[in-house]
Amino acid sequence: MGSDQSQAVEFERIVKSYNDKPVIRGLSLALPVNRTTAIVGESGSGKSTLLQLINGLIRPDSGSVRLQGKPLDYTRLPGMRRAMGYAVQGAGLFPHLTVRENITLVARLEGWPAGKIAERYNDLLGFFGLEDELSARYPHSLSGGQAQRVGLCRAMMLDPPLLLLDEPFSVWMPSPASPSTRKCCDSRVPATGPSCWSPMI
Amino acid sequence: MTDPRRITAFLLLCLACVMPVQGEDRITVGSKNFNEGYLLGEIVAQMLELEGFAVERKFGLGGTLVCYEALVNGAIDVYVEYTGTLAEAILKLEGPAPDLDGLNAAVSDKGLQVLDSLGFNNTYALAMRKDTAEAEGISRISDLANHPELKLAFSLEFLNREDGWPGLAETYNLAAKPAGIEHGLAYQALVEGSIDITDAYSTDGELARYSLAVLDDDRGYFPRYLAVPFVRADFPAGAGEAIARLAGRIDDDRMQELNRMTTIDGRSFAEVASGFLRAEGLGNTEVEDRLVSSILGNTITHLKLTAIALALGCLAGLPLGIIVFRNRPVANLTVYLAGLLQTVPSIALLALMIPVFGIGVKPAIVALFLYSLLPILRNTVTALITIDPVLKRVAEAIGLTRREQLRHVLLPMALPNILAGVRTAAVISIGTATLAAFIGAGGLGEPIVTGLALNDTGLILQGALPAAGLAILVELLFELLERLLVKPHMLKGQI
Repeated sequence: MGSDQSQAVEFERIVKSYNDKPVIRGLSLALPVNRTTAIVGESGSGKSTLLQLINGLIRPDSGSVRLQGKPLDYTRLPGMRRAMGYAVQGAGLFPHLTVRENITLVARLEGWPAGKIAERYNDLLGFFGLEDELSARYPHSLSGGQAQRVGLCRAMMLDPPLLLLDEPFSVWMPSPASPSTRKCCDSRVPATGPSCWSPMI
Repeated sequence: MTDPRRITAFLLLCLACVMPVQGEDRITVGSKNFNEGYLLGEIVAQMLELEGFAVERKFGLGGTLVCYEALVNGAIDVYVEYTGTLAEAILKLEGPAPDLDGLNAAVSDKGLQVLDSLGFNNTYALAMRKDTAEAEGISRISDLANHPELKLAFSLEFLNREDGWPGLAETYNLAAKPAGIEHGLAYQALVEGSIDITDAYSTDGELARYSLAVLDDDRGYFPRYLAVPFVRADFPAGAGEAIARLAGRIDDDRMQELNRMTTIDGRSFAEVASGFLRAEGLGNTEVEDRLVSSILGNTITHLKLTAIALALGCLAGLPLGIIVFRNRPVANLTVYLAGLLQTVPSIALLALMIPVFGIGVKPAIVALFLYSLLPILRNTVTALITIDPVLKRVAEAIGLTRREQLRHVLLPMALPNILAGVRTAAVISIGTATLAAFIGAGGLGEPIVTGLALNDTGLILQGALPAAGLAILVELLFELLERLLVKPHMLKGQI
């Protein structure tokens, strides 16, 4: 597999074990841009591992990960991760921050002007059908579905070219194939990236 | 969150405020922490004041070795020691204590000097009721050999010390089987007639109070414990002369009388010392009643000690916790070491500080700092480690740098626990700081230590009540701080 800009993510002969138990054995895979890729597998089959190989939370024992043709640079992870939205099962919202603070945290750190933040924020709330009344609330007072959507808003705040979704629909939407999931994954321009979820098997 | 640099600057400022200011001609008088020690310290201090010296009092130092180290380090300039104690406990000399010249020869290379004795000999003695003694015709210890029917009861220390009962029985061929008794109860038992003879210190105020007879040590068995001013060789000449004027003025009976005035009549050391100097024609000293100002002064000193120790504890404990928490084995080791520090008994830790830091405020702050380290460090590490791993992963995955993770996610989430740790440390410090009086750091422990030495409940309460009040105040303060800094829903399950 050569260097290829048309591939959002390329895995090359990835091996990853936990405590000598191999989870991924020599996987080579390319995920094209402008595409939604779903990875399906049983619990413990390595879906989350695969996802975290992409944003560098996990490093392969051997093999390499390439993003848009360039090898993943493990020395500049924070910057690279800001170009990847990340949402997880259970939302993973920070309990000490309000809904608004959760969603806009990284944008504020990036130094976005207030107007731009407000505009993007309001767009996202509207897109996910969240009431503005929720903005000042803390995560503990949200319903499961609301929290999931706030988590997705946070992942999409910077309008990242790549969106990594680790089963974030388990509460909000029972079916991963539902129109809402599609809507979320297709909404961005360019709408690239693997989304990762697994139905109950 | 407040700017850490500003906090650091503030803490350093606090530190600068309490660093002792060195006065030029101040003479620091120390004393041991029992009644007679305080009284002699006060007499020496007032004598020096009569001669125009500015005097600082560091009374109630925790024992012989603390006093001695303080003198060697120059933390105090003078205290009253006993020749027998000097020879045995400090110089570790075998056999009978040498005379003054011998002692001076032994301490001169340490830059110390022993002045002429105040006159009395505070040694072990055997005491019995005067009426029994007269009725039985007993005035000397050797007379006891003819009276095996007498009931003897001694303090446990005296029973077991080599220079106590075992040697005494051998020297005087005594066959009696003495019982053990708590020293504090012995006098009462003697007066009530349930025992006939007990051990005493020859200058105890109780001897005067209960009109007890002290039996003559006719074979010279007990070592001599002459009270001598122990000073630094660089002691100002005028000051040495002033103290020399006290030489030979206090005999055993006089000391018993003076002790009685404080322990039994409940008069203050300052008052009794002043009365003594006036009666001896040495001069008139003024004794002011300083109750309120001394409580206030002690409370302020106490607050300074704990606040600085706590601030240092935070300055060290928080960063240390933040540095080590990501590495589990290192974190465990660090918390374990801090825990080890905590197991050193407070008094021992304070005593260990003396060779390094001398006595006074500095070693007390260092010791309190070491104690405050564990709760702060452990809570910081635990709070950071126990944050939901999913949230830690998310914080990393959304592109926060390590610093941003700490600033925006980890520390705010750990804050309630960290505050709880600081709060624990604060309350511990306030309690432990009362012990700092043993090494001359002052604070609310001063009246407590003095009160314990004198069995004076009122004096103990002068320290204990403000200390308790301070602890409650600090609790409330932290509760307020918590309300200001932490959102209510982040406090779930926290007490």
